[in-house]
Amino acid sequence: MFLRMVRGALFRQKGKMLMIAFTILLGASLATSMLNVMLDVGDKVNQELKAYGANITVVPKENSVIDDIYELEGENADEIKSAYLKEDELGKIKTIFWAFNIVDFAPFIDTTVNLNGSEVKLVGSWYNHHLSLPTGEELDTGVTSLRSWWDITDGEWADEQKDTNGVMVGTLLAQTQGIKAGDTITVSTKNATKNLKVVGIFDCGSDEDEQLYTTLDNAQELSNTDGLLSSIEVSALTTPDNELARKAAKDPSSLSIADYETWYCTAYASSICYQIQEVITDSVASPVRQVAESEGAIMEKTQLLMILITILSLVGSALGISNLVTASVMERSNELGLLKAIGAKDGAISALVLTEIMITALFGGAAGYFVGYGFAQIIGQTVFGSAIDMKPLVIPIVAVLIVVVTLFGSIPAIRTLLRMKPAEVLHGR
Amino acid sequence: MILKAENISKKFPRKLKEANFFYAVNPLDFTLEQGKVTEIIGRSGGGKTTLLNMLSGLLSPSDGRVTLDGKDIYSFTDKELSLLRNEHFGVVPQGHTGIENLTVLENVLLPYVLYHKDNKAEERALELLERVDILTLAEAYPSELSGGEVRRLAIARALIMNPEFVFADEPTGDLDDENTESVLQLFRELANGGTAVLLVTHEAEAKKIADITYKMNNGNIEPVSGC
Repeated sequence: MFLRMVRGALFRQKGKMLMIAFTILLGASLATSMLNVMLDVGDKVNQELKAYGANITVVPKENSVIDDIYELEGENADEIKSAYLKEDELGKIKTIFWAFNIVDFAPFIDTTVNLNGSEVKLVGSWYNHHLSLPTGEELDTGVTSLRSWWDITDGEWADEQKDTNGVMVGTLLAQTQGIKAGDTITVSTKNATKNLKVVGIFDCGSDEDEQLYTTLDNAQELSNTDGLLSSIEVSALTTPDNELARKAAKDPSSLSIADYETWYCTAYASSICYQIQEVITDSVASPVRQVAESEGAIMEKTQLLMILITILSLVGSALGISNLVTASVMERSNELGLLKAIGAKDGAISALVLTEIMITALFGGAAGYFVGYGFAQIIGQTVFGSAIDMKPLVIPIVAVLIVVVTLFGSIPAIRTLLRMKPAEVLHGR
Repeated sequence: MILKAENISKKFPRKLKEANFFYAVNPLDFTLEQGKVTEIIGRSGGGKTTLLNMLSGLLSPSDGRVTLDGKDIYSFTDKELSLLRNEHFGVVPQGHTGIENLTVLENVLLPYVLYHKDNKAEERALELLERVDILTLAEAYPSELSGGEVRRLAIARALIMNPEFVFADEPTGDLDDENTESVLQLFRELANGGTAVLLVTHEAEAKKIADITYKMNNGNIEPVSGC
């Protein structure tokens, strides 16, 4: 009988109930779209920021200590640094807890070579190296993606799959030496001499414009460092740092067990660095602060904006619901007064009204979720040029928000109901 | 059980020359006796319905108290007062008082199902519908009934819990002579069975079954002599 009373009220007041459902739909759709975008914007912004290069560098521990003590930079530093990372440990980077957040990485080895009588820095790395990982993952990685901002002014990107003797030349060096794409240059060290084919000239606006870039094997041969690396650059999807991450970055051992687990199982840059250090022998991994902080700042502001829009839309919905439910209760005052007169408790009558509103909210909220998901796709395509992933977490959050907003919006109506005197409403006052 | 009103009055806000309120019921004492039909007559606006509402736990008095076996019913919690209205009081209010989306039978059963999950009262509900002559309308909806039929529905609903006190406000207002006599006879039988019945009515016929008659005028009550 209770359900029949609920159903009867819903159908008898279908105009008002549709308005309530529509109000909830609007609030739920905005909340859904904002939450979906907010939860996905981290990945989107991360991907955008990946265009600016790696956000983690890994160097030998010994060299890092020398850097810290003497604050060395440039060629002098290279001469003093003598420790190396092991090339055969590179694959382990994709075995850490956050392996799927590692989107790119590349090893580097550098040495000084003689080019036409001049001392020039030559860097060896991967260009478009293909990796088949033990996890089954296939990955093409290297400087082609890690230095995506390089402007190729002549020729093209080197392709190590086709030509292992290719070299790319910085624009300033090319101008000084009169080198152009298609030339063959001879570089030599005390260990070896190699003829390399110039595949492309690049302009990046930094010291690298005076350097040569070739394959890792060529550079290792010239520097007699077979199987060794001077650094690794890693591009990883990270979570913006918070107080816990900053504390952990200073000293993970200072954390409590619970905090340590939270930090370790969150994709903070410092947490990923820590895990890389665990798998690469005698290494120090550190986040590139500029990139990491940009990510954090942009994401925090974007998410704050989304949260504000969500809160405002939900407050608007609550106000709308409040007016509509109060009007509904007033309209049915005679029926509700009669229920009181025959002995229904205030709680039972409130439960009846709330059940009606909650059923309406359920339909409005469900429709709002799908409409909101559509809004999220429009935002994703318009702002990021790609779809927004459906986040399952949004469903319970939106459900809880709808319940809270509906209950909050129903408070004035319930207060009216509790103050209602059966004698007065039955008498038409 | 003894229901007593002790010095109760009711005032409502209204802009008057001398005050911002008026008294619908002036301070009065009243006792509702079990086994008797008590009738209150009087002109419209005299305070009859207000007094009935205060006695039946639907409207708290501005002053004074209504006691049941010595306990002030308006000092009860919502739960206690609701149970009192459900189990011990049966109210037949004025006007159209059917829940539209429930059938006549369900409307009559409503006070029972508020606190019970079984359908033991259905037989009694059907008996009451037969007694007020609307058994054939058990599956109809209130919107399909005439005014008189809705009144009889309200009477059956008020009696479903076998209350000790029945409060009926113009119970025969929309009824024809035959049904008026039948309903009044029903109230008489209830009183004979020990129920206290309070009738607020304009119906002259009610005097025939009333044990006590009061007249209310301008909020004041007085017994009608000769009754």
